[in-house]
Amino acid sequence: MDHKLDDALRGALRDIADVPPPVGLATAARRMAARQRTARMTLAGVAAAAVALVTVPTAMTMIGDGHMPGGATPGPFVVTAYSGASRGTDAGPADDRSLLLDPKTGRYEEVPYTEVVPSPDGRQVLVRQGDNSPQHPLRAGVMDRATGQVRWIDTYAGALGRDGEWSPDGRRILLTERPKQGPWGFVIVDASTLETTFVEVPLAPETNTLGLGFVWTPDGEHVALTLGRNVGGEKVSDIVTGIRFFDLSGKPVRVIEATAALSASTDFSPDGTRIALSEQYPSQGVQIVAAATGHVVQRVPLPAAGRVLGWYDDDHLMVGVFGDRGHEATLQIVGLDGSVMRTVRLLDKGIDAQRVYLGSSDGLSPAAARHSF
Amino acid sequence: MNAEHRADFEAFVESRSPALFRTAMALTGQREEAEDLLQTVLAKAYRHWSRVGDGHPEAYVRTAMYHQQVSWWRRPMRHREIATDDLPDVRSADGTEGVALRLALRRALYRLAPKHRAVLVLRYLEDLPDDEIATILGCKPTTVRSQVARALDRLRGLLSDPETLHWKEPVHGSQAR
Repeated sequence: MDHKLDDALRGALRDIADVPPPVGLATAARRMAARQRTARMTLAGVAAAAVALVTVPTAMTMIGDGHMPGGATPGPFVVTAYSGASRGTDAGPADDRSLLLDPKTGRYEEVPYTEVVPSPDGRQVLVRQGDNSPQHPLRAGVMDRATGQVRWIDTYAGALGRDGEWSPDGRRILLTERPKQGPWGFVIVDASTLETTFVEVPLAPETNTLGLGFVWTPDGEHVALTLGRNVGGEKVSDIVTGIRFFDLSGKPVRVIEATAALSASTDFSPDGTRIALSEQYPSQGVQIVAAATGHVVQRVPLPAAGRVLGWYDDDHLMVGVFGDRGHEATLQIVGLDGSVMRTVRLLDKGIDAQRVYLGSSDGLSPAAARHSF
Repeated sequence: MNAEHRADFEAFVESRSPALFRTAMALTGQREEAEDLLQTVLAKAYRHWSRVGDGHPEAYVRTAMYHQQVSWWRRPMRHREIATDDLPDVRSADGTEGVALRLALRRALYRLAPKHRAVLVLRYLEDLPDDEIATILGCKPTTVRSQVARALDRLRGLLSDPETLHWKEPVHGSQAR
């Protein structure tokens, strides 16, 4: 195409696109989502009622025959939780339902929580419930895995609505507090006493965190936060500029330059020397950077719709590959050269999950160990 | 969906809707369908917000819009498209070729198949490199280049079609898609 046509085409597209947006888009979208939810509930109503007659009226029920991931060869990891689980016929994702692995029976049990985050040793689970409506107030708590009893946390409601992370020693929970007004920071919850400590972090109000929260560093003595900025007004997406580390008093201790995001503590390699940072689009892969300097040491291609769930060992990543509803989700163990070492089926077809949590397979019964990989 | 996620979602839509709606307009060519497209994709994003919102929601929404538009295009009777062979010789009576060409292109774009318009929007409105377009569309960069070439060929064909010159842009509805 010559330059004249090229310029004319750009101009024509700008002419077509140069229209202000309608008002109330967010509300309209939410209502559409609610209508879709209602429609699905109606369609699923009869089946749901039938299921309700046979489910056990306790906090935990079973999903199918408990068959989930894994294979014939036991491995060091197992999926400990599917957080925010839903079926294709459900109203919507994460409607107060999650799946937890029972380490004794090997069955994935349904629990009535929007989010579940198992502790490193699996004995406790951070749970979340509700939508902050008068009928269903938002609340989060710590569940004893053995008894199912939950101790509810009664402070920092805003932070409770966000993802939480267990410290490496499993004694504390890290929450991100980012109110519309007021200081930003993080909250550390003592898992045994539920005592909460808010730590204000000296970030400028305009600091762009791309919606990401604080994550633990492997030593459990620091937290880290991805920072970014807008580079092109509304036309382009925000970019990552770096990762800042803070001590537990909120004091910044160092920053590394980065162009990809740190989304969870599981992004740190087992030896703590590298971090797998996620690019803007999953198909752009991940950057393996030196934790000390931010220097990119390697780029690893990912499958489309892939997401790093953690490191399998110092040379392999665990990548969740999530299709849309109706597509089978898998976990791939991927070498740093991008080669797929092993593929493990995750959820039964037709079940979706917002997040997948992995844990050690140590101590699992033989029935549960069959899920390990 | 908790209150924090809802607030995040609403803040995102409020800040990014001008840019997203421009893209939706360029993809559909009509305000009603642009609203329909963007609202559909935002509703999907809202349902998945606990997962979408933690990453790059704008990238998700943009990608979803392109895929949704192409998906809708696959429905029967969603558009009509007339192909001709010759490169047009567009020239206005008063010599203002650029303006005339731009108007003709605008008409032709309305009649272009959405999958072709999508790749042109990414290339000429969003100014994205081929590898990023490939990422969004889920194909190889070489496929992007061939799609752009085919779209431009089709555009040339539509420009040379007399029906394009006399064709009126729709005010609303989908009769011309």
